[in-house]
Amino acid sequence: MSSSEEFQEILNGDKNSSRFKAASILQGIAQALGEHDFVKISSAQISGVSVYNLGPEGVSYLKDFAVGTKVRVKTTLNPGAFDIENPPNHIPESEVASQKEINAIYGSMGVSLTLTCSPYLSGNLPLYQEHLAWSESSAVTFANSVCGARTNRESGMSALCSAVCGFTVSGGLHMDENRQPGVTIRLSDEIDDPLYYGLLGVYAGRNFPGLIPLFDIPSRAGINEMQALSASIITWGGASMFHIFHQTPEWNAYQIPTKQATLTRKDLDDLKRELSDDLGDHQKIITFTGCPHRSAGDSIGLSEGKSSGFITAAPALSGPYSPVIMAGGCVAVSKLKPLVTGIITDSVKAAFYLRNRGYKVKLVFSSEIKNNFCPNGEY
Amino acid sequence: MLKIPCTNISGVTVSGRVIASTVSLSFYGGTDPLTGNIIQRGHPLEGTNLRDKILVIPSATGSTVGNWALYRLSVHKNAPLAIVLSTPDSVTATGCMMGSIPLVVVSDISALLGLEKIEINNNEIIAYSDDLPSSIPPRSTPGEVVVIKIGGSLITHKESTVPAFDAEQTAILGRIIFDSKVRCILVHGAGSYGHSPVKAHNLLENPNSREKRIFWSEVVSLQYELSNLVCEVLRREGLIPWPVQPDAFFSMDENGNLFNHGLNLINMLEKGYTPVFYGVPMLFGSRTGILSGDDIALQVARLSGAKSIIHFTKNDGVTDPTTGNPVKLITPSNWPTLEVKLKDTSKDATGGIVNKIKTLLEATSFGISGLIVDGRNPQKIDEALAGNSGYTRIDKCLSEN
Repeated sequence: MSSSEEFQEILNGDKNSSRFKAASILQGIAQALGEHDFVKISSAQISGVSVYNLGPEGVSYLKDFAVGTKVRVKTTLNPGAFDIENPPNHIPESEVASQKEINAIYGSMGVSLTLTCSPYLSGNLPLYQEHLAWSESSAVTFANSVCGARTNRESGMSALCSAVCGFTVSGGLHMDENRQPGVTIRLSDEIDDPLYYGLLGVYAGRNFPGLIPLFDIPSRAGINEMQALSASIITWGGASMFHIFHQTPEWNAYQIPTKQATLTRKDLDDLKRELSDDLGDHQKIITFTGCPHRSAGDSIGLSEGKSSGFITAAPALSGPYSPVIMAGGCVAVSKLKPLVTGIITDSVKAAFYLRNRGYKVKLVFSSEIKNNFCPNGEY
Repeated sequence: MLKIPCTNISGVTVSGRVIASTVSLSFYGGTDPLTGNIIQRGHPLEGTNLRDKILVIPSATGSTVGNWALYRLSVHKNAPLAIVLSTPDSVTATGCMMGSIPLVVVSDISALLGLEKIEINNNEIIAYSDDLPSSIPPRSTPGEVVVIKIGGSLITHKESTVPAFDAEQTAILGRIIFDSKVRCILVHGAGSYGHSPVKAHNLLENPNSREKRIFWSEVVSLQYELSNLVCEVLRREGLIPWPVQPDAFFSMDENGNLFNHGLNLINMLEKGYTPVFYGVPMLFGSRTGILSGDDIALQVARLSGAKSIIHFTKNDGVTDPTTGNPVKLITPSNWPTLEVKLKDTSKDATGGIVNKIKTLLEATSFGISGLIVDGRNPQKIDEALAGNSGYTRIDKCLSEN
């Protein structure tokens, strides 16, 4: 039986089950996208965890959906709005309770409460050519590009439906032909900080929206650099996939694009200035790192600094940083302390969302973070 | 009857009023689930309510949690009757499935722009001829033509040192003008497409050196380019613009008097076109100068029999520099005092607000009244087009209404 036929079996099953409901939603998505086939997935990653995204209506929908429902594949969860174990003082009790309830509902369906946007660091590492249904955009890009797995950018709910059915809608990045790079971007200088990779993603997304880039970079990227690039390219309108010469698994599987662009480190420095605000007059400044969530064992060498700060990471990784961690939370959806107006960060993705919400944001290199950091964990 | 093939995901037949835009919408953050209002800042449909309407947009943008926003709209009975898209995405599809909102996919939404009401069945969208937009907007007499001057600072990023077009702002204006069904002639300024090179190179001094003539040539090319960009956006928003080159339409004598070369504006308007003029460099006799959009507005108002000129600017009308109060009415009798006060304010290449008002006062002697309206505010644009007096009125008579 083909995957699509197996999927049809679910639609022939009990019409009152959540699995049927999930399959109907996937069927609707397939129709809207003009796709006919479904593929078997090996894991799912769910976004849409924050109490501020779901609202009370969303919580009750999810509650109904969860009755008698279990996920069929390994499924991990995005961060919520804040650390539910140590919620900030200014968050009302009711919102903390709702966030706990949401986490518990996902848990009841068999979803691992990893509460991280870097699931590949917390026990959900995709393998080459595995099909996935992931919905966290930075993780989708990391899985496609760095792991060589295959996933489209799902919505939180469609990822959950796929987890419950074990299938997702085919097409898009599940197909070889759609993973072909569309532009070669050459960087003529070496770069040595995750922030530079973040800026490289901004350049690619802005200038070549929707095109998969093949980067030619004279330095080697580590996990933090790959994370930064994965997060920024998609935030700035790029594709949810990239290739890097000699560094990503599919770099030579396709034709080298004829469309080319070249840039220098100075271009990236200029971008950094453009995306940074002047924090001069701001009284209440915090320093923040961990968007996407940081990896285990990745010490930032905290030292005496000027502003208070915190790190976001999966609860599982919180050990070495305690007590400055916001475990299982996300700064881009959190309600930061009302007095906070200025933020120092090494993440261009965080900068994008925080600036949209009216905060002044100064970008610094990851290597500079420790100098700005006063680890009292206040946020 | 107009029929457009579509894919109707739910298969449910719906019919209702259309709200449409060529600008994508973010459901999460861009809509209010508790009221059904579109709240995306600067979106042409901002302030419109989704409830019981068929929403037509090219695509949805934004976060992967947009599906929850659609579901919440539906719970509060504020969801649209149906959503019609040309580029579907899985987030919107999920939200529509969750909230039982019919989702309809078409290959191109442009045929749906400007329709009042449509019916969507299994595989096609139908508009009956009564609801088809007339190519000639209904105005009772040719006398009701309105001349609309759009400030260059509104449709370009004027502070930019390189030419930078603001397509979004132009689309908002185009959409409101189209919706108002006002029969109009548009005149737009140059903004960053002309003023900065003219000022930077002192082009108005010794304009006949070879170097300066090259700059003039570049400026003229830039104006053509800007006008083409404007017309392209206006077409997308439903208007049928006819770009007119002012330096070919008019000739100018040594004293700056204009002569028309005979293109019949009335005929063009009656056929449903919107003539689009723009401020442009002009050779008159031995001199080179600028034929400003303000001057063109006056001339075309006279030629077409228009009774009013509306200036959409980036300012909130005219403010008295001494008192800080808005000036509601400017007439030949209160102008001299105000002119002295305003003269200290900054000028651009075409003389700023003082020259604008002077030209409008000149128009009053031909029975043409003027309005200066904040073109960034959709509500004010709407009111001005409906004939309500805007922020600052320039007229012959003394009464404020």
